[in-house]
Amino acid sequence: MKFIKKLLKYNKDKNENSPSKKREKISNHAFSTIKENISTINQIFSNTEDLVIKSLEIKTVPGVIIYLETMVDKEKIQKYVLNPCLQSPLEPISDMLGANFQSATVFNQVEAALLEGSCVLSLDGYAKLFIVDVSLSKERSITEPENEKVVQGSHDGFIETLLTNLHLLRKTVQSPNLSVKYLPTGTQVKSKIALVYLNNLVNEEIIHECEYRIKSISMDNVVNIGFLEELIEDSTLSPFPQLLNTERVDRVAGHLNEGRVAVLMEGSPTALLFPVTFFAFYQSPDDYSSRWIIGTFIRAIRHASFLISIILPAFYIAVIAFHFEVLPDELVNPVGSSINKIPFPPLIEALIMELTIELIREAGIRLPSRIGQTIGIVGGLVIGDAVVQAGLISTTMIVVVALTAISSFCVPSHGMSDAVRLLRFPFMFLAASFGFVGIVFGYIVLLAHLCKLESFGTPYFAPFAPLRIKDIKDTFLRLPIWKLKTRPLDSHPKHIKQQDPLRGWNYNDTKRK
Amino acid sequence: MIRKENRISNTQLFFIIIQAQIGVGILSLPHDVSLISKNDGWISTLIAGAMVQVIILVLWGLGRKFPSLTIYEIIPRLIGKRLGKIIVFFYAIYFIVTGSLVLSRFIQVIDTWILQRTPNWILILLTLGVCVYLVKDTLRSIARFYVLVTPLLIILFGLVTYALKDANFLYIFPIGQSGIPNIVKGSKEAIFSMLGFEFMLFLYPYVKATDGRKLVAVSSANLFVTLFYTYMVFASLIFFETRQDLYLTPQPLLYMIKSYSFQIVERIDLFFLSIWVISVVTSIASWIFLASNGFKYFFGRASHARFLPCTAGIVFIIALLPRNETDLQKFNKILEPAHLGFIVVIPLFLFLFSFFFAKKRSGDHSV
Repeated sequence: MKFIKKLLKYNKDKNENSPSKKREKISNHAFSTIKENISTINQIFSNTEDLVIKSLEIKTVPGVIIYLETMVDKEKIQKYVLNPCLQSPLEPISDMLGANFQSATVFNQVEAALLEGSCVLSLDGYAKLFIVDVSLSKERSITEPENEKVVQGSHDGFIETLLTNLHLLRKTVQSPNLSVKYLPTGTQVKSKIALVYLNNLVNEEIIHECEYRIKSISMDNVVNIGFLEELIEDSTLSPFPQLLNTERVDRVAGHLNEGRVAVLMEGSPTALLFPVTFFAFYQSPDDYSSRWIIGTFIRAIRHASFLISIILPAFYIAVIAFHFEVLPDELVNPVGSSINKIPFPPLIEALIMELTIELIREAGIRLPSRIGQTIGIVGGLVIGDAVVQAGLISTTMIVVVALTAISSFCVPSHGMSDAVRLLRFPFMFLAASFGFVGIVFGYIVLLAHLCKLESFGTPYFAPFAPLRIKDIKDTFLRLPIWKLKTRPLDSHPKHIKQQDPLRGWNYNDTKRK
Repeated sequence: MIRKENRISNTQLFFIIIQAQIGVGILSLPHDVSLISKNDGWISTLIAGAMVQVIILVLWGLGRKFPSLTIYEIIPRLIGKRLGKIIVFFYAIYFIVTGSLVLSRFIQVIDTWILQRTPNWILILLTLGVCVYLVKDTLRSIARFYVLVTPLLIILFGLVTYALKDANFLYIFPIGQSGIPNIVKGSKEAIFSMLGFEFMLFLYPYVKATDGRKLVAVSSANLFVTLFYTYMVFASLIFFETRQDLYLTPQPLLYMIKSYSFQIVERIDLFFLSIWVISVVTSIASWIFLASNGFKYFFGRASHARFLPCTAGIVFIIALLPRNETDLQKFNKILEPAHLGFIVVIPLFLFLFSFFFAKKRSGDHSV
C-alpha cells in the first residue's frame, strides 16, 4: 500500500511541474524595448524557426515586425503593414498606428494573435505591441456534405473554418437576435468554440448549463468536436447520441428557430445541436420540402426502419429457434427447406452475416471510392451468393440480414445509425436464449432507457415520454406547415407560438362567399 | 420535501394505477371467477370494481388528510415512531411477498406456454433484472414508461375481440342464475386481480394536482381496469359453450386466442403473451419499488435505489418457493388476510385515527 501511495505522490509531484504551470514565470506585460519583446516572444514560441523577425524603421523609430511565416499571407503584410508604415510620411506615428493596428499590452494576447496569423509590430519606446491580421486563409469551398445529401433544398454545408460557418449561419438566419458566444477551451492548445442561438427564443437555463459544462472542461487539447460532445453530453453510457451532429446549414437554422443551441468549433465542419429528442435524429430537411403527405409517409418508413433494424433479426432467430409454430402452414415448407441443411444454429448464422456486413461497410468507408464499390459488389453479391451455395447460411437469413442492413442505413443521422446497428446484437442474443420473451424484455429495457435519458434537462423521448399529444405533429408525422402553430415544447423556448394562422387568404375567401 | 424532478402529473397517476393494477391476473381471472359465480362472473367483476372503489375512497381520505406525506411517513407520525417503523417494515415485507407471488404466477404461465425447458430461476432473475432497471431512477422516469406502454393494452383488447367472431351471446343467459351469495363470493377472487391500486398510498404526495382531481384520476383508472377485466370475463363466458371448458382451462383467454390464426401468422397467443409480459413487469416493478421505498423509510436513507438489490434478492428467493399450482393456491390463501390487513384495515384505522390527531397537528402537514 505504501508503495502505491508513494507512486501516486510521485505522479502528483510530476504533475505540478507539467508545462501548463511553467508559463507563469514569464513576465506577461509588454516591454518598451524591442530586444526584451523579441526574446520573450522567442521564449514563448520555443525558438521555432518559422517565427520571422524583421527589423525596420518608421520615421527614425526603430522597430521590428514579427510573424509566423507559416500562417501569414506575404502580400497582406506588404499591403497592411509595410505600406502604411513606410509610405505615409505626413501623419504622426500614433495616428498611423491607431488607424491600422490593434494594440496589445499583454503577451497572452500577442501569442493568440500570432497563432491566428497576425503580424506583430514592436516599436522602441512603446510599451505596447501592435497587431494586424494578415492571416493566410486556405479554406475549401462550400459544398454539400457528403453524408447528408438532400434531393431538394439548400445545398450549403459547413466547412472547417469557424468564421465562414458563422457567416453562413448569419446569412441564413438574418435576425439581430442571433447571438454568438465564444468560449475558448483547452489549457495547452486553445480551441475556439462558438455557441450560437436565437436570443429571443432560447431558454437561458440551457445556455447557462452549456456554458458551465464547457467551461468546466480542463483538458490540454480538445482535439475535435467528438471530444467536446462526449465531454458535455448527459449520459456517456447510453448507446444513443444525445447531441445532433449535422453539417447542414439549413438544418441548424431550423433547429435554432425551435429554440435550440448550436455549438461550432474551429476546424470542424460539424455543428452540435441540443437539446434534441430522439425524433430529431429521424428528421431530414427533405421532409419539409416535399408535400406533407409524402413527408409523413417517408418519416413513417424511417421510424419503421428503426424497429426493423433492431427487431427483425432477433424476431427471425426467435421464430426459427423457439416458435416455429408461429409460421402458417404455407410458409413452413419454404422456410423449413432453406434452413434444413444449415449446420449452424440461427444465432451463429445471423452473427456471421451481420459481422460480414459490418466488415464490408467498414472496408467500403476506408477504401478509395472506386475500390469501395468493388468491395461492395464482391462482398454483397459474391459472398451472399457463395455462402448460400456452400450451404453455410440459409437464403431466408440472407434476406433478413440484407433487409436489416438497408433499414439501418435509412437514418439521416450517422450517430443514430451506429447506435441502431449496435443495438441489434443484444437483441439477437436475447432472442436466441429466451425467444419472444427475451425480445420483449430487451424492448422494455430499451424503452425504459429512452424514458430515463435526458439531454440538457429535456426528456429524450419527448413528446411520447412524457406524453404531449400536441407535439406529435412533427415527430413521426409531418403535418402541413400551417398546422405547426407552436414550437415543440422539449427545448422549452421562450415563445411557444410559432406563427399566426397561415393561409389567411383561404379563410377570407370562404367568409366572402 | 419532495424534489421537483420526482413530481408527476395527474395523467401519469392515472396510467401508473392502470399499469399497476393490470397484471398477471388477467389471464386466469375468467377461470377463477367463473369457478364460483358461473355465468355471472362478469357481474362479480363489476362488483369487485365497486368494492375497490370504496377502498380507494378510504385511501384517498387518508391521503387527503396528509397531502404531503407518503404512507410510510403517515404511519410513524400517527402512532409513534418506534411502532410505526415496525409497521412500515411489515408493509415492505408485505409488498415483497405480494410481488413474489405475482412473479411466481407469471413464471408459471411463461413456463407452461412459451419456455418449457428454460429453468425457472433464470427467468425470475431476468424479470427481476428488468424490473430493477425500470425502477432504479426517479419516479418520473417510471411514470413516463408506464404511460408509454399503456396503449399496448389496445392490442390485447383487439386480439380478444377478434376471437368473438365465434362467440354466441346466448351463452351468458340466464343472468343471475348462480345467486347473489355466489356472485359476491366470486368478486373476492376478482379483487385479487385488481390489486395495485394501493400504489396510490405512496404516490399521493408526489402528484401535482388538487385532491379532487387525484381522486378522479385514480377512480377513472379503476373504472378502466374494471371495465377491461369485465370485458375479458364476458368475452370468455360467451366464447366457451360449456362451463366445464372454463373450469378446465386455467388461462381461458389464451385458449380463446389460440383458436384462430391470420394469413401470415399463427399462434396469436404467443404475441398476446409477449405484450402481456410488459403489463406484468410493470406490476412487479411497482411492488418492488414500493418495498424498496419502505426499506428506505425504515432505515432512514435518502435513496431507494440502494435497497433494490436486496429487495430483488428476497423476491427471488420467495418466488422460487412455490413449485406447482397447488403451492401457489396455498400461498394465495395465506396472503389473503394480509391483503385485507395492509390495504383495508390499517389504512382505515389510520384514517379514523387521524381525526383525533387532525386538530392537534393541523399546521404540521400542510404543504
